[in-house]
Amino acid sequence: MSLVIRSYPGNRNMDKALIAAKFGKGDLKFETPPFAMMTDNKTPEFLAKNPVGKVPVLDTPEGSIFESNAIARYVARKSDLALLGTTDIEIAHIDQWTEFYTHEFEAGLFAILPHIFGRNKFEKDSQFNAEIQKIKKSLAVLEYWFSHDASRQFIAINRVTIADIILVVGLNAAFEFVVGEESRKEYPKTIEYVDRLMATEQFSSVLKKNWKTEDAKF
Amino acid sequence: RNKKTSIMSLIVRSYPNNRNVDKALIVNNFGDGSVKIEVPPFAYSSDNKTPAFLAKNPLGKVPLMETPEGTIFESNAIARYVARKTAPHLLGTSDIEMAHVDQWIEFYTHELEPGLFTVVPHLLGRRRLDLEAIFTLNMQKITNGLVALEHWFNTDSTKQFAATNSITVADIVLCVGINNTFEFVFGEETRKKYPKIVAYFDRLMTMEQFSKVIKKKWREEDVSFTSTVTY
Repeated sequence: MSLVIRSYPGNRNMDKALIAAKFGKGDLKFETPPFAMMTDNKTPEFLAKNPVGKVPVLDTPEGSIFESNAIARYVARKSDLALLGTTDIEIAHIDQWTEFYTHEFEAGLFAILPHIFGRNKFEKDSQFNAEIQKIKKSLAVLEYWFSHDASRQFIAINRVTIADIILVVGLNAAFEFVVGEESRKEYPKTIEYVDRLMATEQFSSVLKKNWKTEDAKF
Repeated sequence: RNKKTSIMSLIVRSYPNNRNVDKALIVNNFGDGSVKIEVPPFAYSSDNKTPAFLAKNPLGKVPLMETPEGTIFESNAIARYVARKTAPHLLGTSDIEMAHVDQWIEFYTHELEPGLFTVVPHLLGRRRLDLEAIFTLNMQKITNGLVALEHWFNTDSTKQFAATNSITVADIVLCVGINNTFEFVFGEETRKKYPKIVAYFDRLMTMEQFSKVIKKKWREEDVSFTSTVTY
């Protein structure tokens, strides 16, 4: 099945879908044709698929999809349905951790990365610190979760799921751009979890580990 | 379990009238009657800090749903679970339908909710912003989200629902969110810019499943940085 990614090349928000595809039979073919940001994502044709005008958008034989988590879930559904859960409660636990990630962790990350990349700087360092605190609070929750049950290997159930894929991609980005070595020492179980998953073939063939030494500064 | 004869009891731990619980209640109104949702008394700010509560939801937030199979947190995950049990068509009936339901729930989470979560607690006096610039920025975020949603309904005038051509959880999430936006943030003059969104909301509210749960009390004037609102 041919899946066309509408985005600038190397959009890391697509990593989630690419990792999910690794759990399949290899019959999904991703293409990333040339795409001019600021023009191609403003055309009436693009906005008819994604009125927000953001990337990535995935064109499939069945229709177009926007929002990287929705794209990742679709690819997971086409690759290995077990990634989404096989019982109602499994599915719910995968959903809840994906929602945790989106509401608690990603909110802070998406607010802070544009500042760090110089694209949308905060006015005051109190804003910057507030977002760092959100991210650290989420990490503390994860640390508690993994410490609470020493046998816990994955975030939602007892095997890898789309929740792990979405979470690990986000954590990797946080450790690459925001949270440095000294801070990471406060979350040993979470680091262990990320390292363990990133060492697996499906993750390591897509993600590169390039973690920061120092914490990001305002 | 014979769905027609046995009732599944689901308990929601939350303060009363938590609008995030409305999503699950509306979902259940589309169901086959096999699920009963109860929201017993709950001492918010103490009951959600106990070790027992945190072991189920380490975030300590509400709502939390207790089911015979285990506990679930995050209101969207709860709403989806209820749908799966009693009205699975609300989640989509094909891979692409499910993706479209997902994308519109994600849209709400990313494009409308962050602005509302910043502006509404400020207006309620619960978490005042110290910089007017942050208020203005978040009002703009909400506006951008509304513009995108209005555009969506404008691209295809036959479109009755957000995600597919029948009612889904995406519509339920959006309906609750739109109601909050027009009750707490944007007044009549601004609403005139979004006739398709207003028509969509009103159309959903003609369904009893929605109107039994959501009360429409939209504000007259837009808010400003110094406004206050009450629930």
